[in-house]
Parts: sequence; C-alpha cells; structure tokens
Amino acid sequence: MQMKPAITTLIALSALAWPTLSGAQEATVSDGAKVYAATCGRCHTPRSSVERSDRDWTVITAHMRVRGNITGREMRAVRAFLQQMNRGTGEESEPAAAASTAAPVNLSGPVDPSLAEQGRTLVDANACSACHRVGDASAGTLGPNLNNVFSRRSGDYVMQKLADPRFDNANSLMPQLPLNEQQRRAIVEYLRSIRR
Amino acid sequence: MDSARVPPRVALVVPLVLILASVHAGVALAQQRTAISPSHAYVLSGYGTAGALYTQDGERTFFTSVAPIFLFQFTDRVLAETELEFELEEGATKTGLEYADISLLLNDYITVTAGKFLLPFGIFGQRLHPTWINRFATNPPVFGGHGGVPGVEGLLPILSDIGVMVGAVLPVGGIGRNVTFSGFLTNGPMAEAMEEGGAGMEEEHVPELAFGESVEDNNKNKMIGGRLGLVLAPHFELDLSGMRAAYGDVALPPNAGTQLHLVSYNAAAEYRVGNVEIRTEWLRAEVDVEEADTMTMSSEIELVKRWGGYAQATYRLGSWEPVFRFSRVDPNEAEADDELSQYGFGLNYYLTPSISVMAGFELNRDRLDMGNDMSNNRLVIYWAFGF
Repeated sequence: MQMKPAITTLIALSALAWPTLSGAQEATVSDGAKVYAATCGRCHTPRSSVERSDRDWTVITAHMRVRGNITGREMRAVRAFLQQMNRGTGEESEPAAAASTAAPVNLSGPVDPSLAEQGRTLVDANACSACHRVGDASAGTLGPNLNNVFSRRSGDYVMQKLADPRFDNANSLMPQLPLNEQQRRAIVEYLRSIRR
Repeated sequence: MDSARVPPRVALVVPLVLILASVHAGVALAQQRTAISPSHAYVLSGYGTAGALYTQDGERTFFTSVAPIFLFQFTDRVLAETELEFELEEGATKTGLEYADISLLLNDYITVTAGKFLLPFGIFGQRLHPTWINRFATNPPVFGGHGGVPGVEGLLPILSDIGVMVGAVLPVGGIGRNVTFSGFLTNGPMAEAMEEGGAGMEEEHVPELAFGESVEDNNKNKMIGGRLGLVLAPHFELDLSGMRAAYGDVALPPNAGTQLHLVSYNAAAEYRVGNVEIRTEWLRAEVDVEEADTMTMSSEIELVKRWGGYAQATYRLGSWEPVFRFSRVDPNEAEADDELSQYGFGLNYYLTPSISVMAGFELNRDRLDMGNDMSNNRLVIYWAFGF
C-alpha cells in the first residue's frame, strides 16, 4: 500500500488547521434556514426549536457539525436560526401589535412593481424559499406554498403571520423575522405579483 | 494483497501531526472567548424503540431498546459525546458502547476526533442507523440489526472503532455546498474467535469480522480509511469511501504468519427535495480467508469477495410516509445461489417530528448459506422515538 499519499494528506490537513481561528465568517439566520431545511432535512424530520433551549442547541449543533460534516459557519447559522425561532414566544410582540392595527391590505388593486421588487429582495434575503415554495425555482415544503397563498388566506393574515409566526400556531417552525410594517407590505406585494 | 502494516514513518508522523494540531488548538482555545460559561453545557439525547416482530417461520416477539446519548461541551471548540445501547437479548440485558469520543473543532473547516467513533464509511453507519432517522422499520440487511431491529445478522456490521479521525470541509460555491473529507486510523477489525484452525474459518464458512470488540489492537496493523463527500447542492450528497486493514494471521502452514487482509469500498448517495427522499448505499469487501484442512493440518488463503447494499425511496404525505426499499446481499461471489434479495414495503406515521410509528414488511427471496436463514418474510411494527 502507498503510505506517501496518506502522509501527504495528513500533513495537508494539519496545514489547513493553521489559518487564523479568528477569521470566522458571519452566519445569518437566513443561511441557517437554508441549511436547516436542506442539509439537516436530508436526515432529520424538521422539529420545533422550542423542544430545546438555546444552550442545548449550542451543544447539539456542535455535535451535528462533526456528524454531518458541515462547516463552522453553517453550524453557527443553524444555531442562530434555531435560537431565533426560540425567541418567538407566541405572546403578542410589538411588531405583532403593530400588525394588528395596520391598515388593511388590498389584494384587488394593481401591483406596485417597485414595492414588489423590494419584497422579492426581502424574500431572497430571508431565505423564505428554504421552507416555502415561492416562485418557480424553490422546492421548500416545510411551510405552505406561497405561490397561491391568497387563495387560502387574506392579505391581513399574511401581514400578521410575518409579524408573529406563532399568533395562530404555537408550534410553528417559522422564525421571527426582523421586518417592519413597510417591509411586510413589500413581501405581501411580491406575493401578489407571483400569485397563481 | 500487499501488507497494510503501518510503517515506522507513519507511526512517527501521525502522532507528530496530531501533537502539532493539538498545540495549535490549545493556543487558539486560550485566546478565544468561550461561548459557554464555566459551568459547561451538556445535553441528554438519544433514541429508542418498542415494538413487535413477526416472522414467517413463527417468531412472535415484542422487543425494546434504548440508546442514550450524552453530549458535553467543555468550550465552544471541545465536545465530548457518548452513546450507550441497551437491549434485551435471550433474556438478558445487552449493553454496548456505540461511541465515546472527544472532538476538537480546530477552525471552521477542520475537526479532530479521538476515541471510539462511528466510522465515516458510507452514510448509513455514521448518520442514518438510529431508528428515528432510518425511514424504514429495519436496517438494510447488509448492515445487520445494529441500532435497529434485532434478529438479523449483517454481513458487514455497522462500523465503530477506536482510534483517531480527522474531518475536513471545503466550501465550494455557497452555503450548503461543500466537499468533505474524513480520514481515520483505528485498531481495525478482528476475526471471530475460533475453536480450532487458523484466524480464518472452517470450510464453507464466510468470515465474520468483529469491529470494536476489543479495547486493544490484536496486531501491529492499524486500519486506515476515509470518505470523500461531494455536496454540490444542499439537498444532494454523494460519498465514496474505502478502508483497508489486516485482521489476523494465518495459523497453519504453509502460509503461517501471513496477514489476512480486508479491503472495502463504498458508494453512497442521499437526495431530498420537497416530499421525496432517496437514499442508496452499496459496498464491496474483499476478505482473505484461511481455509483449513484439518486432515493435513494445512491451509490455503482464499480471497472472498462480497457485496451488498440498498436503495430506498420515501414520500412524505402530511404525517404519513410510505417507504420502499430494495436490498441485495451476496456474501460470496464465488458461491452461486446464496444471494439475498429483499423488497421492503413500509409505512410510517409521525405523531411528532421525532416520534413515529413505523411498520415494515420484508419480502425476502433466496437463502443465505451462513447459518442465518434470511428467507423468512418479516413484519415489524414499533414506536421509534428520538429525544
């Protein structure tokens, strides 16, 4: 058996360990949503984050980093996503309170293209397609299909859901997203533009 | 086959590399602010089963098992993990140590693990064998009942061994897209204990390799192996694995003292998009076997080639999940008519994401000439839970 390739590989792997540890890349909640849905979802059935505390998720994601062969950044992203979901307590938060008093959403008027484009950008930034079918390319199935959400729900419902995912379902897996009212309206406008 | 004995250079270089990596990690740990308070953090997790097994030849039995997992994080870079197994077998409680290891998360791309760990050989052994992760009610026959439903002896047991493992992940084009590599150096397999003859088997008996059965290596040879993973899309992974070891020595002349080798290869893939999940894994092993002639007290070395694997598809419909699995095992390519083909039909119902009722029916075709009659059709129903 040729040992030189094995020795060379081990030395190369050790060399990779020398780069600075302080250069960890930023991990975002949206990245975590993608990893949770696609990478974790290859083995696990998605479960509510509230089953574990933030501290537990810190330990569990480290364990899964070794078991699942993911990077440190992906580990931190999933951790941030799960811990972000834990922050949704089901109690009415300030955003939710604001949503409940916001002006009703009109689904019948013409679509505002600039507002819809802003909404599309927000949908991409928050990785909604990791869990929802949105547009043509995504295949997320953790959450409902958003291409035809207005055949089932009102615009006001979607606004409320974006403000407080657990207002109607305490076990919702959807994370609490940092969106103000104008951003929520932009997402609703985008969903109006793609509805089928 | 060439000897796989570890030469002195590797025996010197490998520990040196690990010492250098550990020193580097130690310096980095001292410089890092820990994310965990001085009280440390630990998690009790695990999985278990409770169910019933019905076989065509009349076996009717309830069974149960539990596998607690202890995770302990010393700092944000050091993690210890242990999994125990408890199950009932022949009226007694059988206990096992699935793994007990400590990992250093050196940086965002490299981990080093030492202790007893699940070998990165394919996907099923390391990631999919827990009952609440495995979508079918039984393990694929090539892997036996380890961590799954009892009563089935696999040809190539799930692999757990003592040694050191290095894991590397290289991002390629965006989050969730990586090339991974895991390499390991462990004690390696041993042969089953024999009453007489050499380290191999009596005539017409395929050797059963025992991994992790001893805390010490039985020879100067270490098993070396690794897995290359291609995760070119977050929902699709393709893995190629290999391992090589010597597991014993020939006992009888004229080849007494010659090492008996194992070489094994594995190709595995995992794909999930939407409600559809497809898993497949196929492996091949070439094993030196000592065929003893007790009349002349001599033996010859025969190369036994064996292979097996499975392909499985699931579709999630709300809380229901139908499953189909095809499995095939050939314990000895040179022997005709001893292959097993298994068709598995399963249906799972998820009470919660981590608690399911699993039902699986195995349609087994052909008999394996190994003392384990696998031609029985089987029906298994049980609770599977992860916690």
